[in-house]
Parts: sequence; structure tokens; C-alpha cells
Amino acid sequence: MRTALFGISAAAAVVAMIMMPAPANAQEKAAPKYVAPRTADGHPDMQGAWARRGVGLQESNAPNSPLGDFGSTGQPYPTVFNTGVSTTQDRSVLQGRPTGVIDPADRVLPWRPEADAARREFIPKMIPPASLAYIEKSARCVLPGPLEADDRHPYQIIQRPGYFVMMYEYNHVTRVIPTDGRSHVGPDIRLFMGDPVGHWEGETLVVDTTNFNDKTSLGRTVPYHSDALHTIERYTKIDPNIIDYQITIEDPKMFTRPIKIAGTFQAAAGETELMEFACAEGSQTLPNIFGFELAPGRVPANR
Amino acid sequence: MKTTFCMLAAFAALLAVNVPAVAHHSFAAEFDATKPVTVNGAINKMDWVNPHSWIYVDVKGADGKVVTWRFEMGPPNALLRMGWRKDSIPPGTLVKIEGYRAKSGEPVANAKTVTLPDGRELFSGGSAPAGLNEAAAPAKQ
Repeated sequence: MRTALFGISAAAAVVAMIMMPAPANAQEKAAPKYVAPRTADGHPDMQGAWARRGVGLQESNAPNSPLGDFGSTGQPYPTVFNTGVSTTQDRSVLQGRPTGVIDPADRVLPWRPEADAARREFIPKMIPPASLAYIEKSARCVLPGPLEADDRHPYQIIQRPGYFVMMYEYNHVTRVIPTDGRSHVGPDIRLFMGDPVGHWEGETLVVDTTNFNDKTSLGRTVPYHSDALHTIERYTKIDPNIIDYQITIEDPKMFTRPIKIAGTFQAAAGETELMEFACAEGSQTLPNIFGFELAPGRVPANR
Repeated sequence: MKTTFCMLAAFAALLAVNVPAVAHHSFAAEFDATKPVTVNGAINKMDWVNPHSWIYVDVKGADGKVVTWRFEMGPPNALLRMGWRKDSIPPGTLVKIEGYRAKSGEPVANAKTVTLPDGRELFSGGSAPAGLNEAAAPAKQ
């Protein structure tokens, strides 16, 4: 018993250290001077299967949502749902690296008052949904936008000269990110996953994404965004098994200033492969989610 | 050894709780956390499909009638990372499954734990704390 208590205390102390945001300059000093292997065209090689971890728009002043949140509501729900395809590596590299919202440091999101009021009115109507518009977007198999991919599914990175390709198992998203210096598409083109263009800054790939539509969400308590959304991602391989990831979210119609989120991509095990993801077709949950009756006397949908 | 295991388990559990989670859709949209359910029955089949794996269990009622329950689980890649394999529970295996009922009232639920005849628990808690597998698995490359 004493051993177990000691173990828990020690673990809690380690976790506290991990979760403590480190000052930016301290982080830079502590960052290992890792130089990644190169692809044929001389850029850091980040190819392989990865698990994204820690990326999310958690806010400290969030309204209660009927959608709840895996692992943080206190409901008796298995924490294994959070483990995803995470992997394994020397976790000491992760120590001192904050995750989630890192700016603002207090995680009080810089809402425009009218936008905050609107979403606080919107959220209680999501369960039961007041209309189709209130159904959680992920349950409708809408593409995930910049933050809402389910982290239990792996990613595959493929690099070719002039391109950085991110394949998600989740919803079969494929982001083909040109790194050849081209500009964004014209402003009339609006896309669920936006239009990404990338460029290399030494060890870091910087991806600038614009041209979003307003049909995806940013989180359980940020159930939509505007078409003014703009993201800047930074991918830096800091270890053979870890890509440091930061994304800056700008949406001037929703927030008064940018929000910065940190996380990692962690190498998945060698046997990991992306599997078929037939969101609507593969889901047997639609009657449960939408609560409709298919027809009088219907047979339960056992396949 | 036991100390190491306890520390690792506690560490992994705490870490899992603190890592922001993103999931396919809300648990609350579909299931009722106030309606836990436990069934004992024989594995009928398992679907390894995204976005959720499903496990089907034939449960014999007091009247002798067999009802097939189906339980939603994590996606296949998540189950693989937790140690599940396609042959982990062949059809006919007697299991106890604990979970939470669907709001629809049908024999549908979200699985929390699957207990095998030898007492091993798959999917959560007990012998497979969150994150333990990831800490123990070999590194890439």
C-alpha cells in the first residue's frame, strides 16, 4: 500500500512537472539540438506513421456542454479512450513541453463578447439537437478542420520534392501541402480543411492555411468558427520519435487575438497502418445519435 | 518490480487524464453515463471497423431467449495499441462486458471493460491501465 502511495505521489510529481508550462526562453534553451535525417531534397525527413497528442482547444472558462468531454467530466468513463495510437519513446524529451492552449497562458480564450454570447446560447441546444445545425459536426462525419481529428487514429506523413503530404486515418483526410513557394488559391474558394501552403525554415516546416469555410468546429465548446479562420502550423522534429507541433489559430470574427496551441506527433509503432474509415457507412450509431425512428416496427440495426 | 509497476501505472493513468482528448463524437450524444450495464454472454462476432469497433455478445435471458447485445469500442488502431488482436476473443468465448447503455433503449451500449473467462480484463483499467502499453512497446526504427 505504502509502495503504491509512493508510486502515485511520485507519478503525480512527475506529471505536475510535465504539465507545468515552461517559459518560452527556457524551452528554447532546453530544446535538444537534434538534426533530423534528410530527404533527397535536403529537408528534415518526417515520414512515417504518427500519433498526434495533446492538441486541443481546452479553455478554462468553458461553458458546460451537454456533449461532455472524454476523460475530464468525472463521469465513469475509461481513460483508455484517450490513449489513441500513441507510442513510445523516451518520454524525458517531452518533459517541460506544455500541451494544449499555451497562449493565453491562463487558457481564457480571447472571445469577442458577442461571439462568446452566441456560442453560449448555441451549446445547450446541441443535445437534444434543436435542428440539424446543432448536431455535433463530428457525429455528422463533417471533416475535422484544424483541431477536431480524433487522436485515436494515426497519421501518415509522406514527403516528395515540393510537397509534404499528411494522410489522416480519421475521416480519410489528405492534406497535400505544397512547399514550392506557390500562393494561396483565390478568396472565393472555400474549403473544409482550408488551403495549406508550406515552407521550410531550417528544421521546421511552417504551414499557412487559409480559405476555410465556416462549416467545421474547433472543439466541444467551440462548435463552429468563421470563414476568417487562419492557421499557422510549425512542425519540428526534435527527436527520432517526436515532432514538436504548434498551431496558431486566428479568427478575428471570433477572437480578439491569436490563440497558440502546442502538442506533439509521436512515432507510431512500426506495424501501424492506416485503415479504412467509412465514417457514415461504418458507424452503427446514427439512430442512437439522432434519436429517430426508422419506421414502425423496425428491426434493430444488427449487421 | 512491483514498485516500478505501480509508479508506471499511476503515472500512465494520470498522464492520460491530463492529455487533452479529441474523439469522433460525444459519448453523451449517444450513451447515458447514468445507465451502467453488465452482461454475461458468448461472443457472437467482432467488427474491426472505423470509426468504432463493435463487439456482439449473445446473452441468454431468464426466459431462455437469446438477445444479441452490441457494444461500441474504440477504433481498431486504438485497440491494437492496447494489446487487442483479431483473435483475442474468438466467437463463443464467454465474457463479461461492462458499459453504458445507449439512449435509444436498444440492446446497445458503450463498452468499458471486457473480462475474459480467465479473469483478464481487456480495454480498460485493471491489468491494462491507460498508456501502459505505449510505455512498454518498442520504439520506432
